[in-house]
Amino acid sequence: MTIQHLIRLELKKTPFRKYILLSALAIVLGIFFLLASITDSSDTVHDFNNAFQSAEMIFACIFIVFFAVLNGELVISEYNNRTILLMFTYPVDKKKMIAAKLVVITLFIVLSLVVGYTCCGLFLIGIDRKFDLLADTFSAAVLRYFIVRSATTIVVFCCLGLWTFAAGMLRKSVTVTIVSSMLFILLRQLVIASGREPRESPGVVLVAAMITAVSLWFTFRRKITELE
Amino acid sequence: MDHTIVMHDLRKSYKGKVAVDGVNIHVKEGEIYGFVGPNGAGKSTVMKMLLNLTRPDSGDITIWGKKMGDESYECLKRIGSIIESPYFYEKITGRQNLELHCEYMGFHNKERIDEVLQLVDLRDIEGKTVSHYSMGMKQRLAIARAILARPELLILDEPINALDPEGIREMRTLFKRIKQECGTTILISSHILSEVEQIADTIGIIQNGRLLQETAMSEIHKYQKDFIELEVEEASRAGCLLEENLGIRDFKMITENVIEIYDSAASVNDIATVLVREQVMFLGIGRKQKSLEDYFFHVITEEGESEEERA
Repeated sequence: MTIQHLIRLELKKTPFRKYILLSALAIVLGIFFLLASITDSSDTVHDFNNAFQSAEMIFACIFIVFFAVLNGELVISEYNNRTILLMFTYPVDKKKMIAAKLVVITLFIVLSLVVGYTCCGLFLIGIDRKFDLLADTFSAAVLRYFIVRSATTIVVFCCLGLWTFAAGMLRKSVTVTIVSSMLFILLRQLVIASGREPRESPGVVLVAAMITAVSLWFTFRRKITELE
Repeated sequence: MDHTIVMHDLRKSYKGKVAVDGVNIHVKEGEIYGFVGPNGAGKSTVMKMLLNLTRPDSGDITIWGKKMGDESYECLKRIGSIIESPYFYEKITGRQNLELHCEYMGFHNKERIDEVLQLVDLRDIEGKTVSHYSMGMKQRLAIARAILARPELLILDEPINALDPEGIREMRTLFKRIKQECGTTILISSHILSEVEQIADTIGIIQNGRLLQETAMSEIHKYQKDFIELEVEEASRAGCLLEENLGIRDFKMITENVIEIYDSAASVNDIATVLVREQVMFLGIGRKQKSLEDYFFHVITEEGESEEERA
């Protein structure tokens, strides 16, 4: 059975309407915080860059936890509810089956983030045109910066989301998955705070990707078929 | 007759605790194999190993002549199963669960869903998510799912748990029908011995992870001969009287008060007459037949005694 077919079956049995609604709420919440951050009365100069940082921080908090929740609900709860026993009696590679779930979760989060960043970007452009709240004006350079930063953060968030999967699979625990997401958000903030610029450097992104690869390799090798 | 399943010297431990200890099982093609044993005896572990859900520490499993390995997925297409409990995706309907099963099994005859729902007599489920089913309904749905893709081998772990007496009778008839009409091999575990007794062709008795005996039901029937059970105040005196007056020698003192008489020529009337005449107080007398349960305890007791001797 191809991974595409498995993804299609995952989509069939997953209540995505609920998750789409949650994702939309998360984006609205993100825009609300963004509005609050650019209209605060402090002395901070608000431009597209630091407005983007606010959006990025809010989305990190929301979507890494959301990734963990999806890991918990779609993968780890299959172990806890024992439906995995049923899944593993099918004539399908067990690792491929779990990989299909992760692909579905990752794609969903990526899509949500793309929509989220697009909405935030459009909101910023719109509100700046109307009320001139930001110090600079929107330009092709800002757009380029916006796209690169969005792509970088999407990669980092997905890496951290996949870390929560590996952490949760250690004890097949939804609680561990969700708590680990908060710790990883904190870790990200500490790494960013220790750097020269308020964002991940290419080196940090590379290290995150490598840790993700190793943790997924370990999980797929040792934890997927472990049922007791 | 060819063997569908052969397990050779199967061993499995969990955290140092032995769950399965040198099990050898031979399931013939087209038979119903009753796998019996107390809770925690290792039945589910053996069945999980058969379905590749857990790997044995050592030993071999051969299904349809092919050795099972980590990547043996293809043979699972030909197997229907229930393991541990009837697990379902609770937030979707029973029919959607069966449709998903068809997709994963690569079975594309959706009309068969109505057929199996009718076979297990599951009605009024349209639009109801599985979370609203009773345990009995889930058990019926699990049986429907197991037989849905017309498997050649059925592995059923306690399939009649949670069914009412009528449901148990219906499922018994269904399993027999599947075996007769489709030639399906069925490996069924249960601790309801009276049920296994009625459908199995071969019985495997497992205890503490060890297969104590694998016997054809026809052999067990020989053990299940009729006998007269006599309950008296003084069994030893009654025994002497039976021997002296009626020439009965084939009997066994079970307890101080109970005697089992196996002599087929012995008559309940004659025994009662002798006991009354000799003024031996008797509390009860009647013909009985040993059940699979008696056989099961006989095997387990024998095993216990031989283990004590070995110790």
